[in-house]
Amino acid sequence: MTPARELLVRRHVDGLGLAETGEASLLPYLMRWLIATGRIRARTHVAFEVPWLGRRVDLALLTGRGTTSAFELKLGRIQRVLEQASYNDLSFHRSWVVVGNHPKSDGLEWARHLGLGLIVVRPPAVTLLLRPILRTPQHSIRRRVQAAITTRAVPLS
Amino acid sequence: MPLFQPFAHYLAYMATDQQTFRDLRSLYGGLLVPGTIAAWQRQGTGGFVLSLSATEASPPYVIDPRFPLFQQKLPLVKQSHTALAEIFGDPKLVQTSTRPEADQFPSERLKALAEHWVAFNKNYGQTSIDSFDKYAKRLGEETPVAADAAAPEAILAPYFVADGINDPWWERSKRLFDETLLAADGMPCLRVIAAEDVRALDELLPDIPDKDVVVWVSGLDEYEALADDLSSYRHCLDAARARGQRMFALYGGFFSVLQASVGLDGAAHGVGFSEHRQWRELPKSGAAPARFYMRRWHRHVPQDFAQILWTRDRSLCECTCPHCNGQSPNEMTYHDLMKHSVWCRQEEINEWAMQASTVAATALAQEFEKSSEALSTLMLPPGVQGKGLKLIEHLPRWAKALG
Repeated sequence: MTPARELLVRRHVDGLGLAETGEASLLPYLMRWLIATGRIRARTHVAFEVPWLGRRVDLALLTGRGTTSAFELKLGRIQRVLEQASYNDLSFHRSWVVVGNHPKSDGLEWARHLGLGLIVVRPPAVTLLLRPILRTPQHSIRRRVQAAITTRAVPLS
Repeated sequence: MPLFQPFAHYLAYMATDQQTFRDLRSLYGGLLVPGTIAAWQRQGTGGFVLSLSATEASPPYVIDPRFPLFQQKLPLVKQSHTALAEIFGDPKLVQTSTRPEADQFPSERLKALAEHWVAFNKNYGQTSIDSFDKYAKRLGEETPVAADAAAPEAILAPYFVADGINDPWWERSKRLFDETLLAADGMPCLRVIAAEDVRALDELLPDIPDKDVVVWVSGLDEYEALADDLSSYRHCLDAARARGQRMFALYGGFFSVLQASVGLDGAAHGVGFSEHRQWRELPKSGAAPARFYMRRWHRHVPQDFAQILWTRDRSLCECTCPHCNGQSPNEMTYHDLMKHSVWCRQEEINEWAMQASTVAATALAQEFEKSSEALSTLMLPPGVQGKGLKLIEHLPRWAKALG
């Protein structure tokens, strides 16, 4: 790992703690993967539990170029998280579902049909199953999402 | 009295809604000011309400004493509770460790409480007017002057919630009204009949001689209530009308608007929420959540749920109001959403309040059929379809209750 990426791991992963249960247990592996694949860079704003339209988005990213991504995490059945991710798809450039098990075929098909990204985290392995469709949110919505992320984000050093 | 000019549309005041109240002066009939807010944010609320009352539109207002607060144990005391108790000149009204009993309110105490409340209402224009100029300026082109500030339309007498005519709280409630009437010395007074449930309301309404009454059934959530309960509420109002009583509902949504056909003359609601209320105090309160009002379903729905429908079948949530102005639900700001909801309610009143109940029932049943079909054929994401079908479950219940 390059020194720059090691720095990002320290900034975004080391503070997460070691949750052994619940969706939070997926986060350190997901974050390392996002850093390793260049989805989180030095100028990326990273925010957890971002308030958005009366809900909270588990993880949201805002890149230096203004692109936003939303991640909804779920250990159990994918069906329950597809709803949240499909709402995010209306406001973010990319909407992802992150699950702890390989989904059944109908869940996979729904994610594909909805244009959602799909990642399976089975620690320590992280597998990308589907890439999300890049959306173009309406301007005013994009601005509000960006503001919501920066307000909540870990400060950039 | 404007409260009883059908169909009176009153908005419950909250400080977060000032912009909506200012911008929509033609879309509501009056203000219902919660006593807790009038007491705690005394000068701010007074400045806003009084400056509004001094404009040419001069919307009338009444102050809800919110007295059932003091009929319960309040383990988590809010500053608004103590401020209201001070208005009543009785700090011991706030009970943190034991539930108050009716016999703790003897005649002398009730008399003193009524006198303090009447004084607060009568002197509202003098004692709560420090911030008048600040709020008057915000009203824009027509800067009102303090001399034109109006008194409350009527004094809403303090009241207790009662479970029936044999409930000892009912006797105290009646005495509170009598004492208020005495102290008011000619200023109009209104009784609030606060009932534990619909059955209790049906018992209490015939027990008083008043022609004009304000009614509240605790926790009557129009969207969740059984058709039988809604039907009983309707029959209860109808029976009161037959006795010559005129009624205004302290809380109500669209189903209340439909009760115009059985004599309900008006209803109040908060901007964007508060269409019903439990008399037992909630540990949390605050501003209305940002939600989108669906005209076809006559209810608020989550903003992103409405957005999904908008992307799949715009006709389900399209709106012609100036606040939507072609925007999708997610594009709308908080204040757009609030103004849209008030605009919708006024439109509903204009369109539906005078409808024959059979026509309204048929229209609601048809809407249920159409929306069910649309939701079932739209290829909505898992969970969204089920949520949609749940959000329209009230429509056939309302249709049934209208009989």
